Amino acid sequence: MSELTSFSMNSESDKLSLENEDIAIEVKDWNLYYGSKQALTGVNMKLPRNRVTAFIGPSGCGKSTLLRCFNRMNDLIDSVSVEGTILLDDEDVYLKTMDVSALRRRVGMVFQKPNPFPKSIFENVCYGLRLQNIKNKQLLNETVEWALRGANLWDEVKDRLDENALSLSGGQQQRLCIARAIAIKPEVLLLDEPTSALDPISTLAVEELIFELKKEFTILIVTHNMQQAARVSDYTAFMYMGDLVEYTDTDTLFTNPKLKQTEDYISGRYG
Amino acid sequence: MRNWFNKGEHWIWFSASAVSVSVVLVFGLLAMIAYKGLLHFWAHDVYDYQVTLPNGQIEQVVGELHKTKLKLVKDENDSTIVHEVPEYLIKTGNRDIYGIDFKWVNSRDLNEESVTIADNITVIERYQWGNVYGYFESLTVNGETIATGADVQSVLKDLAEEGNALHERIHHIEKTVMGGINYKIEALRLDQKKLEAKDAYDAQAQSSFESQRAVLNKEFVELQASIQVLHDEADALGEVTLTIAGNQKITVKIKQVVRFWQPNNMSLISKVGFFFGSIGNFLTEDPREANTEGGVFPAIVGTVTMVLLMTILVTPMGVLAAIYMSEYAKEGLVLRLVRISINNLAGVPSIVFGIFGLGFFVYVLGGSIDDLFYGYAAPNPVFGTPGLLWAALTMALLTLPVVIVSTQEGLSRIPRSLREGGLALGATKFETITRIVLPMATPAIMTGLILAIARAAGEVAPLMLVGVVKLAPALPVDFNAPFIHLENKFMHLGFHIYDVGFQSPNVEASQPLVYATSLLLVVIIVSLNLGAIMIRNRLRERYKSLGN
Repeated sequence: MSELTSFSMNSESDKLSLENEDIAIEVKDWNLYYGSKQALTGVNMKLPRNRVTAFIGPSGCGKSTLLRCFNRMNDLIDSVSVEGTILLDDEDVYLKTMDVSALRRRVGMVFQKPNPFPKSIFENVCYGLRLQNIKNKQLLNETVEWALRGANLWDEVKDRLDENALSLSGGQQQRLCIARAIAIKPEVLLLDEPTSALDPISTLAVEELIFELKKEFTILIVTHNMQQAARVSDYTAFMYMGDLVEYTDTDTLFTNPKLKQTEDYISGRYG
Repeated sequence: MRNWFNKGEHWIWFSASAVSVSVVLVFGLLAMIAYKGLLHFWAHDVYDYQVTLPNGQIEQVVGELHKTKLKLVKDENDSTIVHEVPEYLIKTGNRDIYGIDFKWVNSRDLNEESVTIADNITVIERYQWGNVYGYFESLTVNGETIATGADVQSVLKDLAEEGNALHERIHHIEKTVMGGINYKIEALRLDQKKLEAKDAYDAQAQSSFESQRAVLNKEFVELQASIQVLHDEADALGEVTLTIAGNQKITVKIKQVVRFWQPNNMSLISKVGFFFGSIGNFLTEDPREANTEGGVFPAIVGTVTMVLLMTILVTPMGVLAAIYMSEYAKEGLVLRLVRISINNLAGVPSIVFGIFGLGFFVYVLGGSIDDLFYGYAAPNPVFGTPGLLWAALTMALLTLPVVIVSTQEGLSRIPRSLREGGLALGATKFETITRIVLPMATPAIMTGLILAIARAAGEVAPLMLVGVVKLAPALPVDFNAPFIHLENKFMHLGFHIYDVGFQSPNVEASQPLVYATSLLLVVIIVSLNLGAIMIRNRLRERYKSLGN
């Protein structure tokens, strides 16, 4: 069955018109195993630059796992093994000689649960810069302001940058994490269900932010919320049981899905 | 009732009573130690007892009531009846006259009505021979009587102060100044031996050494002379004569007087003042008379220095081991074995650690250090003998499991999301550990250290093998560079308790000191812990809402 769907997906993706797009990431025949259990099966896709691409699908379908491949966060799990190629600007991400830290500076990530460090707001944002041994005070201040403005948080926190980041509300914390991620100016921003722990108002703030951010970054977002995917993304990929089932522009996927499986999922028949 | 059992109420009651028993035990223990220990510092009333001797004569006994014991005596006419006769232990002092400080008095020989508060009696604490209990008679300076009777008190007060000041100066010169010169002479001697060992001790070096030594020796002689002058001055302060029980006289040189008081004439306020003064003396003075009198200052310094040094040694060892085990080591049989060993290490009796410390640290490590660096000092060992460093190292080893286990627990509590957050920003694993994980685990590390301090400060058995002595000639920390002498032997409150309580020639006199020292040891451990707990709470405050 998985063979079948992956095959059918390939034929679909051929129809997906990315000709006018600049491709940032290319995934070729991507397989991932947790021990002997296969979690991703033959994924092939091209991800356009400065666009928002959403990954949807039921829990355990492998969308977060795929997202974590782009910055090699899966390396942390000993049992993971991979096959295939992921190209970031034509550079093989999984090359043995790849500097993983440098890769992660190019591919930033925001997690499901806000995870600010127990430090001041300022230190949280410039953490990535400090890792690069940037000591220039002026540069740090400017970058922190730029990142916080970019994350729509500046006006709320500009008077209390020295306060502990844990004193912020959940939504603010998540935007702080986004600011932290963009402060090191990555090319790609991975958002792993960034609003699932937030209330509707904070969610709205983050969604508006995503819309703004795509001007500068290539954004890949994993979400459970199909309305959200429809709202924020340009392209949407539907995944099921480790397969990329359907991948096309968001409007088409939500209004006129090619496959019955996709239609069943977006109309809420399973998942 | 059935319902009561079914609900498990009886278990709740059992648990609650277990808790209350523990609380009562802890507080009872503390209260007993505090009461018995603090009582020692109080200015007790002195009584005058008239004791009828078997030959019908009446003997006067003057002193403090030290304790009461009920003695079982068979009735003279009917041997089946047993009377409980109270016996009193009276502290009579005047050891140089009576031979002992204490006297048992049977209440049957005592005319209870004749027991009176001894008005105007004076107690003099001396540098040697313990207390004097007597009535002022006269005070003579250079053979000339200056004051008699009650007038002696005010004169003696001034003179005793002078005497104390002189004693202080002599003590300072002997301990600090001359100690420093001795230290330099010894260093010079070792330097010379070092040169001799290298065959570099030529005429030039010889003359240089000789001249340096001559300077030091000259200083030493001068100091001796100045001490002699001070001694003469102290001798010239005169002496005071008192009448003691049994119409005998005792003469006390004023330079021998530590302090004196008239307990029966003191108001409550002055007794309270005396009480705190006594505690102050106890904390700041050196021990006297084979540790049975005076203070415990060197033992306090030794205990605290050893514990702090132990903390400095155990923290990096434990924390690094824990980091490796929980962050880097691969799960498997080896790691499991290591874990089991560490947990079991905590159960090894402390004396075994002492033996290990002596056998490995002192003889092997210390011996090698001596061979390598201090060969010229042979046959005298420098590090190849029990000392502060080895005691602290042994204690560090003893407390290592506690630190490792609690650090590991702390590390495992740091949420995965924070580590990932760090890694996702381009930090290496090492950077994530040092910048995020470890700072957040500091409260747990502090918990480990608190437990380690509590254990190390109270441990005595291993210390007896690796560095603690009854009476250390010098403090482990002083003003002679390098200020902390790792090879020195040191005194320790725990060992002091054992020594004073069970090795002392004067058990009765030292018993209150045992309680006082125990109380002090508890107080020191509690305050070291409180310090650590305060640091931990501040850290916790900083890293709170960690698991939100």
